[in-house]
Amino acid sequence: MTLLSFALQSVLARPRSWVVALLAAGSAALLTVGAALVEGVSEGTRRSLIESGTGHFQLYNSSSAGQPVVVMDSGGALELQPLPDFPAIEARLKALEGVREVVPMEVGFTWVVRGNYLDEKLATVRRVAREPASEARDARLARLGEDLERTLREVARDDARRAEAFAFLDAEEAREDRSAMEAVGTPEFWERFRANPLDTLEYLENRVARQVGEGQTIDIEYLGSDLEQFARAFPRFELVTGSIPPPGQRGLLLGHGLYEQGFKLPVAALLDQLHRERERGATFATDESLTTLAERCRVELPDLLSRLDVERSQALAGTLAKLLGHPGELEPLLREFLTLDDANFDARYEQFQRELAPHLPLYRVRPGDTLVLRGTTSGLGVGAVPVKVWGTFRFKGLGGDSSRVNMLGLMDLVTARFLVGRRTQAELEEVRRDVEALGMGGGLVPLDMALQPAAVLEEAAPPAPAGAASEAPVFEKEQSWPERFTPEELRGGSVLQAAVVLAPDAEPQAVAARIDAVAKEAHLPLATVDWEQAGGMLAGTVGMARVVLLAFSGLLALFVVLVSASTLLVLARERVGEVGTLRAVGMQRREAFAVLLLEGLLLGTLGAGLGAGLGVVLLELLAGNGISIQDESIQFFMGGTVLMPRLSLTAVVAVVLGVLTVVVTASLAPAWRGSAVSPITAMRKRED
Amino acid sequence: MHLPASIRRFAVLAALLPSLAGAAGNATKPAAAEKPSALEVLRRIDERLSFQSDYKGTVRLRELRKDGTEQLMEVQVYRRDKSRDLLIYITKPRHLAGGGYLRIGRNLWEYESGTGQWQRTTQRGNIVNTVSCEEDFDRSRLVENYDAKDEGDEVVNGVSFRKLHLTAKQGVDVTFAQLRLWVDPDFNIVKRIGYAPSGRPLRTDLIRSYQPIQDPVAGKKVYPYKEVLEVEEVAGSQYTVRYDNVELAPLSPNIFTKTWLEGRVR
Repeated sequence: MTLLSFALQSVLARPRSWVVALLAAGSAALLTVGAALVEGVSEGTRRSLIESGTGHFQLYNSSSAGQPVVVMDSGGALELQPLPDFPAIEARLKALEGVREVVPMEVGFTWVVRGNYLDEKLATVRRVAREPASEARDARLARLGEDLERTLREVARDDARRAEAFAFLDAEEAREDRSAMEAVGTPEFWERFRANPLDTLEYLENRVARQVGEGQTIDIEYLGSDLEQFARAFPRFELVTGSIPPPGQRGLLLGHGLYEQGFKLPVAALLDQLHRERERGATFATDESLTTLAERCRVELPDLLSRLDVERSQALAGTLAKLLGHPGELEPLLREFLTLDDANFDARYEQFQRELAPHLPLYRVRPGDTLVLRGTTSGLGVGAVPVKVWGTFRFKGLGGDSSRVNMLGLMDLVTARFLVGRRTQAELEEVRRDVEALGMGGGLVPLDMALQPAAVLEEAAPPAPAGAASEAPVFEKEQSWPERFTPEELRGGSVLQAAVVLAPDAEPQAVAARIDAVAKEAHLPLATVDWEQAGGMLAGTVGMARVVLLAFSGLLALFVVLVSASTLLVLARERVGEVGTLRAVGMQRREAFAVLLLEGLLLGTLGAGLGAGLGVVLLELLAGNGISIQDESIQFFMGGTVLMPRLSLTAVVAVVLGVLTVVVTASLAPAWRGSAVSPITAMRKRED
Repeated sequence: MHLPASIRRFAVLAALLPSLAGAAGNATKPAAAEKPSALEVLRRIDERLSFQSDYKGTVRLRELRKDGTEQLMEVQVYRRDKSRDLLIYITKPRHLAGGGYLRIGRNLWEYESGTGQWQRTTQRGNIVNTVSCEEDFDRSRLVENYDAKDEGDEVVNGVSFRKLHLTAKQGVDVTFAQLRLWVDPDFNIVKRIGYAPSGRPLRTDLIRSYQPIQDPVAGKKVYPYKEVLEVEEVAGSQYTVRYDNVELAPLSPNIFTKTWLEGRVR
């Protein structure tokens, strides 16, 4: 008690020692706020992930080589084994206390290829040309032919740009291309088109269409699931356009961000981007990228013009003439309209949305259209899978159209299985029978087998066929990809992973333990990973935030140690006489050491306590109702548009103890040095 | 047309014995005697594999994955080498039947029969999602596409196999930047490894058999593949590829059109 009293008096008598307390207070306040923000981000990301697809857990087959994720880090396929008898597992888990939904799912990558604008135009004409002959078809074909002729005239006019783009061609190929383009400019060609459209289309598709450039590839990261259940289980899900595919119907929903960025008319998408940049404060005068974007709008004009039929072109030219105040041809009018700067952009953007957009085919895919998705894994039987687009969706409050989660595609599980070539048991058995019948069975062959000469089979050559074409089998269209599926096919087919969504009041760890118990009891190969593992690199942000806080704390601790130690050392040197006197009147060295250390402890406790308190007050005053997050790109990690800092008692105690430890550590060397002085030396120094 | 398995085995044996005898005879010859250069070996291989007539055949591919699952694909292949036209028409599995791959001039098209959609593609490997590349369905162009380096002979059971290392010529677009071939004394490739530019093996092929057939246009016998085992190095899947019902005869020019392929689906 005496020692504590000595220490207290000493602290009060030396205001310079309060620097240490101030340092401790500042550090504690900063760390308290930092810890609350990091915990807020962690909780925000947790909620975002759980409410947008990962669920509280992802369930998978424990004999799998890999673990399930919902947000993929790379294009690598997940090495997951199907869950055995998913419907039975689902029934068992749903009977557990705290489990609300078990949503089957799988993840993957796919892509769609879009031809260039001429490819698309020719495909439309081909579809009509293949319809059964009728007056209506002929009239439609005639209209499309006129439109095509007009488009090709535009293409031919753009000769210089084409020559530049295809400079890599050798002389003969360039000559071929030129002559093909010249041929379509003759009236005879269009006479032939009217007489035999399919033959002339073949010519245009093979000789002319590629001359307007490559098409476009759009990558889609997808979640396959039971779409109806998915929409019910994840509260962030929100349908933006169209509808959810009816039960039993294959279908695709596009994330609205993906729809806007991948499927919107390029000019419109670029104008949106310019609008967003300007909303963030960029201007044409100060940011060159805006000028570049505006220039790209004008580069996209041929693409836009080619997508307009005669009616749309006329309507658009009329509207533009009214807006610009003078008549003219469509192309120069559009070019003038899209010559943008700070003075006219806002008005032009508004005019584009209100006046021009109704005359434009704004999206290249509409709900009801079919997209052909490409399987990314190699393997026989994996193909391009056609699927109908039913609408677009968004995870609300998670960053709008620029958020990664709103760039996903959602499809039924049956289509997802088609895409990776996972077949039904019946199909596998059919393959087995065919392989046996062909005598192509057998196991894997070791590759290190000895070389042997190739066999040369001297079979008689078959006779030359009379009409080879007639021998090729003809198939029914419906055989390809069934549009509908039964509930048994959806849930009874192989399911690789499932999201387990818990009731609001359920305790995740307790439910995980219950799932483990069920697996053990029924000898089921079940395992779970939590949202953090399933969240992949999105969840990794939480870890990164924690590492940054830890690194900041480390640096802060080093700073506090250095400044506190040097301050206390200076003070200890000044107190040599005082300590010597105390030692002379009987104080032991360890008691002197204890007094000096107690001073550090007092300063640390006071500083850390006040600092933590200050941090709490600051949080309450500045962020009591949360911090509004306007930047859409980080809303996902904040759990929405408002970040709620979270401060637990454990975090406060950890901050106080941590700061205290640092200050006491910093006091050790000065206390040791200060207590080491002998009474005689001290007295002599005092006399000096 | 299929022969019963027993007759086929007999035919293999009958063909193999004289071939082996001939090969053994070659192997016993002094090495210095008239050993053709690496380039000459490539030329002879190209000559044996190439024909001038149009080609039609059924190709059956059976995939066996490491985990034991298997798939079967059957395609009809139509080729006209003089104009480099190629049509692959899928007849199995059922869900892909009616689709295909069409090469006309500088265009590669993939056809999805379910929607009737054509897609222009630049993909020359993994054709119709098999381990096969464009060269597998094309005229052998080893001399045109590769420079060859002799790696000596490998003698196995008394048979001498010529080993060649091939590097793609500058500016040539091929699936495998490097190839290593083992060639038997009758100029049949018996083993082939395709490599990436880095030297990483991508695919190993064991050519099990050839089927000689008379080329009516060239007026000579040619030796196209009959059965090849292809092994994808990354996944370890093995593909048995069998070339059946080969016919060398004129094909209608209408076959190499989108309209013809579209007409296969009702």
